[in-house]
Amino acid sequence: MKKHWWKALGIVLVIYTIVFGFIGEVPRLPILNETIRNLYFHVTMWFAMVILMTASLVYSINYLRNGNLTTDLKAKELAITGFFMASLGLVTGSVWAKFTWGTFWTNDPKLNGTAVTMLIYLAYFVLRGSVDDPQKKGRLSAVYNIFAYVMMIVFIGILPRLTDSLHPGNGGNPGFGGYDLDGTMRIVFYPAVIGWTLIGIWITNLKIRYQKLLWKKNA
Amino acid sequence: MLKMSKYWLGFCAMLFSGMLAAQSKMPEVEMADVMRANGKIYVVVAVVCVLFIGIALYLISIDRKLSKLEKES
Amino acid sequence: MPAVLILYYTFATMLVQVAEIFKLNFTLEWRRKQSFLGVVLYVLTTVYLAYLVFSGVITPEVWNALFWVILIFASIQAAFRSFQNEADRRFLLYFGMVKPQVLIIGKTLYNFFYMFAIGLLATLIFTFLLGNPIASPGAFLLILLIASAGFSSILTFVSGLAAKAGDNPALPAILSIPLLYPQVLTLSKVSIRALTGFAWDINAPLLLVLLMLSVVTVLLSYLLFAYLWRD
Repeated sequence: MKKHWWKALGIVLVIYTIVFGFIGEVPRLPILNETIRNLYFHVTMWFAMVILMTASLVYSINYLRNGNLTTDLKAKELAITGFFMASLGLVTGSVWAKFTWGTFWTNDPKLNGTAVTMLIYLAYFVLRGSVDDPQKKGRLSAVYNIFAYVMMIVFIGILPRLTDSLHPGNGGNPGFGGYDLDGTMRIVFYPAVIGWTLIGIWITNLKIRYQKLLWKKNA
Repeated sequence: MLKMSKYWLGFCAMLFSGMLAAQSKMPEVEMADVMRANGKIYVVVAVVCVLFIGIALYLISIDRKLSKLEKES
Repeated sequence: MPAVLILYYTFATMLVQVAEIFKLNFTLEWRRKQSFLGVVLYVLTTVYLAYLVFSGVITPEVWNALFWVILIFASIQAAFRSFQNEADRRFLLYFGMVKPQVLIIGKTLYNFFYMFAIGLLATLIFTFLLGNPIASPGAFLLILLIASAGFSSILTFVSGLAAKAGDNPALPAILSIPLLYPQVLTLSKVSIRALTGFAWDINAPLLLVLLMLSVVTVLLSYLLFAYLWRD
């Protein structure tokens, strides 16, 4: 159990999120009503994605320093799981948007940032597919991962500020990002982020071990 | 000084009563109180929990299979 | 004191080498004008296509949108070709002494001027075929300059990456276009104002931010290019 404690913790935290996500107290906001509970599921996907992508970045940097193919494998698998969670976040967000705003997609900085992020990681996967030699594949994709990640952070940090300077405020919908994360939601939200991230790491861990076994078998 | 505090008291009283009046005019936000009141919310919780526990058990079984393979090689 | 001298010396040699790379790219481009003419033709054909498709419906907004889309694709072409030149590769072998950092800075600088030229050309062709709605040409020129800086800094690096990654022809576009979204968003917002009515106080901070972005990108490419170019 010593090795697996964090997996159990992930399961426990997500069950906690499910139970208290539905039963617990939430702020009573117009337009959103009960859908604000989506914070525990939709928004946590994005937070988990950011954590996984950051881990992928760290492994990419490490790969450039040590050239160990396992490090590259970890970077790749973390990016894949992160992308999977981003896709779930995207679909759940579109469903939520259709119901709340009447449209699946809208020209909002958060959504543009999402598009940039997902397209960048898709490009990362295409790049990996284009190169055959494992060392070269690792090196080129690590460089792109680092470059694109820094660009992404610069953009996601700057873009909202740019559009804010032109259009102060954002409609009348309280669901636009200024969530009042008061105490009642925080006690479920933060454990939820940790729980979903741990589940994401578990899935990545399984895939990495599977791939290493395949390497051993083919060697 | 006493005159100032009398005016302040009057001002605060008006402010307070104004706030009370505003409260009664605020619209009630519709939430799922009915579902919570008659216990049906627990069904939703139970369903989602079952879904997730099922997925978690699947993950555990995959994990065990991998561990077994790793021990063998 | 000697530390300062050494720093100065290395910086000076680097500048000289950057100038060399710049001159090299320029001379190569002029000797075999095919590459440049290819990009010019690309712009011409796409603008004419836009003219045909949008016949009659050219508002300033449409003009603006088309301009930036076509300029982006043309710039991607230009940047990728700069790494594909055969003669370029031979010279690079001879220039084995040149550090990769110098190479990328030199190429980025060269591409900056190249893309600005393409931008000017595109503006001319657009004006010829689709009319000239530009209200503040000075502002528009500045926007073009900053756009060239931004595009060149990102596209040069990513094209280098794509060139090393093999023959997938769609790869440069796939890799670079998402990285350009924020720039394009801002540029098109600012340039529509150059077409309709430009005010310096709202737009100056945006342009400054874009400029800073280019600086950050060049810094990043300086740090990372060495890992790319090992072969």
